[in-house]
Amino acid sequence: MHQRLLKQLVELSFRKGELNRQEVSKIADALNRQQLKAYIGGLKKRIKKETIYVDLAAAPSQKLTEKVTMLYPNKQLVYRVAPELLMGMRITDGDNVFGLNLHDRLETLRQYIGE
Amino acid sequence: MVTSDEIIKQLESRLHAFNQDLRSQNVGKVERNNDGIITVSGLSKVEMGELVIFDKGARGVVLNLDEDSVSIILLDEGSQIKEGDTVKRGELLLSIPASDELLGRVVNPLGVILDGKPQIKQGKNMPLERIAAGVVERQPVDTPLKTGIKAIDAMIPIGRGQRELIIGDRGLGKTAIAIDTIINQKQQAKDGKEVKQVYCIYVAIGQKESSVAQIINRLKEEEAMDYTIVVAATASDPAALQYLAPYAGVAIAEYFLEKGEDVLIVYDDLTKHAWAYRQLSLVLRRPAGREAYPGDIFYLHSRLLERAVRLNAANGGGSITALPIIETQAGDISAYIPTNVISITDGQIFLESNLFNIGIRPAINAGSSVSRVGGSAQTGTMKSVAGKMRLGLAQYRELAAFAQFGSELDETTLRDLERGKRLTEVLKQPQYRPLPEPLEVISIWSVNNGLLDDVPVEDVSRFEQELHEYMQTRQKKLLATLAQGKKIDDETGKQLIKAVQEFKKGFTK
Repeated sequence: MHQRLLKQLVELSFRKGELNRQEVSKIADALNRQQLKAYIGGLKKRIKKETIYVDLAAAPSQKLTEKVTMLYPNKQLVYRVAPELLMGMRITDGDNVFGLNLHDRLETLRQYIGE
Repeated sequence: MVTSDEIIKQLESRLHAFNQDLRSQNVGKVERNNDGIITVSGLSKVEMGELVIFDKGARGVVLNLDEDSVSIILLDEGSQIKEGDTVKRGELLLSIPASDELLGRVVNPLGVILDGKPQIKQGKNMPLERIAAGVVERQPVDTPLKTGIKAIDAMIPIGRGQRELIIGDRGLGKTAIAIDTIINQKQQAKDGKEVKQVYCIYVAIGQKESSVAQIINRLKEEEAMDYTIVVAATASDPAALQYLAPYAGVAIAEYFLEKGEDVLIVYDDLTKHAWAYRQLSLVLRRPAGREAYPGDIFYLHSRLLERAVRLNAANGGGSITALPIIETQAGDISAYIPTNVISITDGQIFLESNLFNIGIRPAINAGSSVSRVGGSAQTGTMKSVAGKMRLGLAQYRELAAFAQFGSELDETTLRDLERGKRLTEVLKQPQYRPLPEPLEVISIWSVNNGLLDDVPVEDVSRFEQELHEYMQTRQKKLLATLAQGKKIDDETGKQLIKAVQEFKKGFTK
């Protein structure tokens, strides 16, 4: 399927920033297996673009969730617990990763000293 | 001896300098792994030609920047890379560490040691891709790079900073010419006190490992490895490494160039380099052009060869001389890649199979070969003896073809024919026997001035060898005069005639 057409179909599947079941069903019925696979991949990428993943060493407090929501007002936030971070958090915004945690800081320090 | 206190102090000072600002990373996820090409989504901030690092430590280089994905060629073992793996930016362009310790060593295009000897300490990182020196920084080629091969130094002289292509079918002695040139640079170190040492880099692209091993052994035997570096990307290496090998070689050459040194770099061979690039481009789904090569195949070689340069004194005065090698099929120099490289270089040495088969080795076709630098790359001595040699040789070849029909010929023509036969014999030279310039001059001068006219053709080779031995033992002063590089005046000419005639008295035919 042509990339441009695929993007248009993916955009048409969203209403007011959310995936519309009826539109998705209508589009999916018109596609063959290979096209459907590409369409699903496109939907996943689109959703991922709108989603911010916040990895925390422990469960988030309300104060923290309010602050993060202020930083990303128009995005969907997904909170995950990642004990290996030790302290702090890691924010993944598309292909940008912000390391605000002890694990990443120690890793960076280790690489710096190793150089 | 460094104490533990000193080590801790060094670490503490590095800690103070540690930048505590928030660091963000631009990452990607592996989507596909095909034939050494990894397709990655994300990496929106990556640059073309940037180094990237996979989860397990494997490295790659970005070669395609598409709208939603990036194509990366693998530089290391990639069998463990799977879909979903994270890829991070290396935030630096691909480079190779270069230092003086590389001399005598064998490395791959990433700087990994291949000769089994100890690792080299971190050198200066030289970028593989770099824009060549501009017009203002250069100066014309005016210093000879002596190959030690009579036919080349006399008729197709090469200068420091020139690009001279060696082109011919397989098995005709292209690599042999390059290796003899490398070996000959050793003689410069001994005899030419005023001439700078030329460092040599031999880049093996897509060759058999056994061939590379043979070349390295030969260089060791001739004590040429002391000033030579071998960059090897053999036939079993990925196409990505074969593609990068020449650029790695010239990056190392630029390290020495920046120090004001002269460097000779041999690319053996660029045909295989073009094949490797074609393979990469086809896997990257770039549009295929003529003979399935990508559209930028010319640029692949032009940007490489433009980095061969002669810098002016204000920029260090160093030089990089390039000897690219191209393999033709059935002598066809009008094919795509040969014509591309011929148009880029400053001349070519064309090897012909007909000449090889009748015993003329090196099998150089003087008519098709040319050096666009010409006499500027010759000393006064060589210029004075070799001035009309090419024309004379071409005339002889025409006459020889005509004389086959057995027609009656006048005395002058017969004399020219006989002299031409002897000149052809003198220009033959065994492999791994490069000659210093004074001996080359003596051989060519003797035959051009008729001193070999009474020597049977089958004895010319032995005559020449014994004449050289005689000159080296009995006429050292005359050799020293010739080594000065000045034009042969009447006085020197008389001394030469006297010396050769003296030798001829003792020569048994």
